[in-house]
Amino acid sequence: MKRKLIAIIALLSMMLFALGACGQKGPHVTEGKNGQIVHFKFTYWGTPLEKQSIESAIHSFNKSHPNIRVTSQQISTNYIEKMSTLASTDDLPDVGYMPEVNMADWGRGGKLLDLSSLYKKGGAFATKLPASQFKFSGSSKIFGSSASVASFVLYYNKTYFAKEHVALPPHDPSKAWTWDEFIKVCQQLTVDRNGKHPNEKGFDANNIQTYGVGNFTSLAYECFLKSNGGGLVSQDGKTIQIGSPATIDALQKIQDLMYKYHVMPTPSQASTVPQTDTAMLTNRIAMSIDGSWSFQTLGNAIKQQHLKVGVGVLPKMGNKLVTMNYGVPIVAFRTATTTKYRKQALEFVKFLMDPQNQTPMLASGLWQPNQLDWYTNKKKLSSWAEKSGLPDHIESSFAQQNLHYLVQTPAFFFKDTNKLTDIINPALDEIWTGKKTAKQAVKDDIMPPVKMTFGTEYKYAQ
Amino acid sequence: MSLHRNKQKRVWTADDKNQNLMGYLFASPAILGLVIFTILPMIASLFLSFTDYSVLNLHLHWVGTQNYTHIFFNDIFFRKSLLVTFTYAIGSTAATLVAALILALLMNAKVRGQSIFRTLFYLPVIVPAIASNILWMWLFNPDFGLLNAILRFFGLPKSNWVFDEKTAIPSLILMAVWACGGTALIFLAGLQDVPETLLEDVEVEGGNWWDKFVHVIIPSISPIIFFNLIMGLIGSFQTFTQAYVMTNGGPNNATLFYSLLIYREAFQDNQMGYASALAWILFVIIGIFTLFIFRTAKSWVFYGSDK
Amino acid sequence: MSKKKIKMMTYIPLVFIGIISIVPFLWLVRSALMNNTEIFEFPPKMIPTKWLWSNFSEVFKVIDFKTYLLNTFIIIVPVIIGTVVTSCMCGYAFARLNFKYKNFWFAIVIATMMLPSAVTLIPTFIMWSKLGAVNTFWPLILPAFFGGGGFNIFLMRQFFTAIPEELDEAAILDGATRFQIFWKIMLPLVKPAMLVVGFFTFMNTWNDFFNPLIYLNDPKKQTLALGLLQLQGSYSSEWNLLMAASTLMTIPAVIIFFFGQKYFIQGISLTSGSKS
Repeated sequence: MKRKLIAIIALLSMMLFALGACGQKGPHVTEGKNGQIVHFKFTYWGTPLEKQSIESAIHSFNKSHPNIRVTSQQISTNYIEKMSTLASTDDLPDVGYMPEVNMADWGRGGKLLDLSSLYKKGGAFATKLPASQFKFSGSSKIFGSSASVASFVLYYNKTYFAKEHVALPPHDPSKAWTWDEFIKVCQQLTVDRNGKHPNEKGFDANNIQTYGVGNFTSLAYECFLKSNGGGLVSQDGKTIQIGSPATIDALQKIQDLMYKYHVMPTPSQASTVPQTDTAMLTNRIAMSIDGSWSFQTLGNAIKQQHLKVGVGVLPKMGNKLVTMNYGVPIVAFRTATTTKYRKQALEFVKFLMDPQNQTPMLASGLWQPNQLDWYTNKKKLSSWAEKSGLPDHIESSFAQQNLHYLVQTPAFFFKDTNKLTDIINPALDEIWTGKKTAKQAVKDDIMPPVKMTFGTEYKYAQ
Repeated sequence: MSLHRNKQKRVWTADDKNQNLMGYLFASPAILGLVIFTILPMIASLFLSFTDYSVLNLHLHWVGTQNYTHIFFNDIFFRKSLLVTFTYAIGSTAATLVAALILALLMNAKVRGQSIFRTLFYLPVIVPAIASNILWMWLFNPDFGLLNAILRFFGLPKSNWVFDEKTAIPSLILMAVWACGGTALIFLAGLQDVPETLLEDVEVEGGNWWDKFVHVIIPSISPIIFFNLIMGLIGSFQTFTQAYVMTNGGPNNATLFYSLLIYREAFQDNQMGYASALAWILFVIIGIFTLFIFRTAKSWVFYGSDK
Repeated sequence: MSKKKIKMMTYIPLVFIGIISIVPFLWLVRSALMNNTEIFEFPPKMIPTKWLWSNFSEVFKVIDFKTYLLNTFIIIVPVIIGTVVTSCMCGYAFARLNFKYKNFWFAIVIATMMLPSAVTLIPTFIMWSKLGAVNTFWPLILPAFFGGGGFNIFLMRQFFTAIPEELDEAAILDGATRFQIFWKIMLPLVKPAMLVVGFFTFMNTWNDFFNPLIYLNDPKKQTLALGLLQLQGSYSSEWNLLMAASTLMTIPAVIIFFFGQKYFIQGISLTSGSKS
């Protein structure tokens, strides 16, 4: 009896999947007063502000498009699990956000529509910043595009600079600090409990009151690998560059900020200071290399707590300035409805991606436009920069960096980003915690497993 | 074998038949529920572990034992994460068990204001993880954290807690111990069944609290200790949230719990077939541990029903 | 040492552990009353400079509290009833009744807890989808009526097994049926365990955001735990509102526990009186 039972259960469970695989679903269309209405579902995540902004955009879209009806669902957490379960029964939404690290698999797995036709058509969409596109090497398809640009800039505390009599950071990309200049400024800004600077005698590295710069080893460090002529992966996605001398040199220079120069907190020291505004308000750090999205909370600190913040351009480690885009993409999923009503789906994507429909987000400082003319057209530029309270800084630093020095992170073009970072990140921990030099960590802990995992699929810069 | 022999000897009495019927009647929710809601998906995942299933590609292919051989011979994270998980599971189960028993004894003491104390002790379990995790990050801070301040007070060297490979797992165990209120509550319920007469007997014979504890309390609640031991192991082998939220597997994979590995394969890399294979390996490991403890139970667990 | 002294001594660990345990709760409450930056200020402050009670009203403004609370109640009441009733039944069966393949079934009960849920999530979801139950409360409620999971069944079984066999025997000699034994003799003895099961079930369901997230699509069907996560953002979170919301979630649990724990009283059970 036991065996029979097991056999029956096994059979049933396999049927579950056989059936799960072939659930055919039709497009979602209803008859309205003025002909057919196509229904789309949109999924996203975000703060109440983002929710408000998205909902109002959808509302005005529905109003201006009587034959399309969009409903939305906010998925605040565990987004990818939710998408996976929906995909397993062929119930994906039609349009939505997508975590950038999942773009490669989902795009190449055939779950996302190719948006390249939107770019080909010309018009405003053709002027989207190139660094906002998700385009994987060896393919001409564009699976998604950042709804907004999210890049890195240098924030600084004006009051603190004045107190230490240090010249303010440059706002003009052509005058960006070299790495040595950057270190020098950091040293001038770093102060221990007795008011001593790191290059003075008797400096107490264990009791640092103010650090020159906040810890940026979690995300922004990659900008400097690129600036130094290295990186994790080459921008054509064909070469893994982590083993290159330029990359190792850059990693070492970042480690030196913590353990040689003592101007940047170590990861453990930094763990309890999650936000730039708080860290600056309490004089824990003088500068911060942080995402553009932090401008929202900084903006509040400026208005409510009289924090005097400036926004400068990033320092150069090598001979060029580089900042990277982390903007979350909007995608069109391949569903019965979007396949049949592709034009309408793309119309909706286009609408959401238009900076004109993102006003609350842009004005708050959380988002930055993804379109060229919103940087070059003076009127459009000031329309979102003005509300920040620092229009000149935004126009010179943010805008110029995004226009000329913005590149994609590997998740936008390199299909094995997850696999690579799963190997790299633990080894980087050893560099950031000061356990190993950059050279040791790369040679011992990164290159052997990287080569074992990818074999001859990629070239390796040595 | 022994079962077979029993069968031949057995004479079915009316009560036996009645018990068989009543047994199935009473157990039917569990049996039905298991078959419908749990076993089916479990067998499905076992089946998937022999395929290349991914939600992105619904036409799955049978790949035989390929997933398993890849795990054993090519997966660069498998061994490390097994080791991490073993260390944590054994450490946290043992530490939580002892701490929870002590806590339960305290919660059972007949003192004024006990309802307040009990509620206080249970707070760590009630407070949402989202708040307590931030707090723990403060406590663990090497420079300013409360924990290092305590170490300093006792003249001990400072620790880097979750930020160091060596101390990351012990730190997470400390967090688990701090939240042992749930386990303690089960013990507390168990303590209510300790026969008062036996405790009095010990007193009459001149025994102290230790005699009571060893000779009466421990044997009386041994079924509950057994329960907490088994559940502690099963749960800690599958620990996920702590590592996912606090350390995300780091530093340098020191907290790369097995469940984190499964999660990564299942949802980040869309290798559901492979993730299922990983999960079933864990299933077998937990199964062996559990079976072993069940086997030893006869010598130390005293049931009222098997005298 | 005199008895009185021992009693006084027990206060030392009680107070000490009490303080350790209350810190996170105080932390939560003070964070709920601060602005977003003050929460992270260093060195940490325990008292807000300005008590922002408005954080709470802000939460109510952003979140459809009433709907979410109602949904949570619709789910949590049957789940608790179902779990307590059926886990008692099953625990009793596995502890005190002899039926065919009992050990086999019990092994399966234990085994169901040993497979990480990450890999059963998709098959389970497909199953509910086939039953047409996605976007309804059924996947969240129904399993409670089938034993309420291995943990609760196993827990109840352990408590039933701890009861001396003589009780059943005496009752059978008196002509009681199995059902009468279960209802009149056994259940009163496992009250503390039932309380534990009930309370755990409440806590799990009350705080569970994951299953509602997976099975419900309609924003109007969301539960409280899930709805509150709307305050979490991708780049930044409104931590103070999140903390205010978490405080609101915590208070009912604290109250329920405070009144529930009073039933953990030694001597309520008959065991103390029975021969041993």
